[in-house]
Amino acid sequence: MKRLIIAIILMTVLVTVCGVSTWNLYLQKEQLAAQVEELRILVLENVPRMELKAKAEELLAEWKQEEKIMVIYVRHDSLDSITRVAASLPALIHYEDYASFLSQLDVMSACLEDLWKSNLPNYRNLL
Amino acid sequence: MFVAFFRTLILYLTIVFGIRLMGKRQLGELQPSDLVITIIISNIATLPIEEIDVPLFMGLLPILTLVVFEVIVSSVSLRFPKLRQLFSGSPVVVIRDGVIDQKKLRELRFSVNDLLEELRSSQIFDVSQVDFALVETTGKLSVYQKYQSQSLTPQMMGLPDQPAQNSPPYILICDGEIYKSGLELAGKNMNWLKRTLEENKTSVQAVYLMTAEKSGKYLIVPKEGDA
Repeated sequence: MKRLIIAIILMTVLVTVCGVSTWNLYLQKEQLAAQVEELRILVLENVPRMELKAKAEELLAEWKQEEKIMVIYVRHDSLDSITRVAASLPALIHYEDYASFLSQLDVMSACLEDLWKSNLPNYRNLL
Repeated sequence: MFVAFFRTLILYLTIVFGIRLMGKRQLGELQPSDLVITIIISNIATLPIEEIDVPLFMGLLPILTLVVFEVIVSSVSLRFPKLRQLFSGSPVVVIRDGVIDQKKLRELRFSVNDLLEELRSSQIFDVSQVDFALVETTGKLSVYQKYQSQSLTPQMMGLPDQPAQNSPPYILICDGEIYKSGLELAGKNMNWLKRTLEENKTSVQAVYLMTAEKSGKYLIVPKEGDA
């Protein structure tokens, strides 16, 4: 009976950990996606280069912060691809390559969406 | 995370089903669910070790899920025999009163040679000596021999029970060290041990192995070179 109680507690902990990590991933994805969208709008509104660069660096710093937590429960290769894109953004603004900058923002959005979708327990991932 | 959790459960149920489908022949000593746990855990454990890109938690979570699920299933099975039967199967009688149930053997995909081999490993060479034999859920054959073929026991001969004769030899000294638990089990004390060693002109340090039974019978093996 004692063993069963421990097992039920452990099962509850495991399900909670799964739930918390999924919820955390959702929140981070939403936050980063909003920042990416904001950057895109700023580019289209012809905001000064330095302000854009500061925003891109802010996004990179934010991502690095989130990545530290995500490495615990997300496969590292998925995170690495987002890091690569985020790291290229300030340089693209610096050299005023807005076309590449916008395309990289699209890549980052897609990567974030893919990261979120690949962690959902839906039929596509389970089967 | 939920993906790893649910995938583990799906894999577990699928492999249990597969093992149950394969039948008792595939099992050694383990219950089907135990075997599945062993197979999956051994594979999962290597993943985070081999691939650095996989977080350790991705390995720990499925293993813990399996262990916990197994404990829950086995505990629930105690209350619900139908569930136990579903996961572990049930024993099958293959010989009754010396007659082989060929239909059951075919169902189990046991050949007559397999059956005879199992019987021989139980020191039975004649099927007609078997009163009752069944294949356990682990795949092992359990045999109950006919009365006439059973080994003669004191009970059959009507001899009175002698509890002192039932005691196995307990270890009192092993490689020069006294086993106090062995002394207690054999119903002896330190004084008896000292006296016995003195009678045999030896000491604790010079003894490699000493065993004793409740009846008082004992064995002393001296250390090589110290005798």
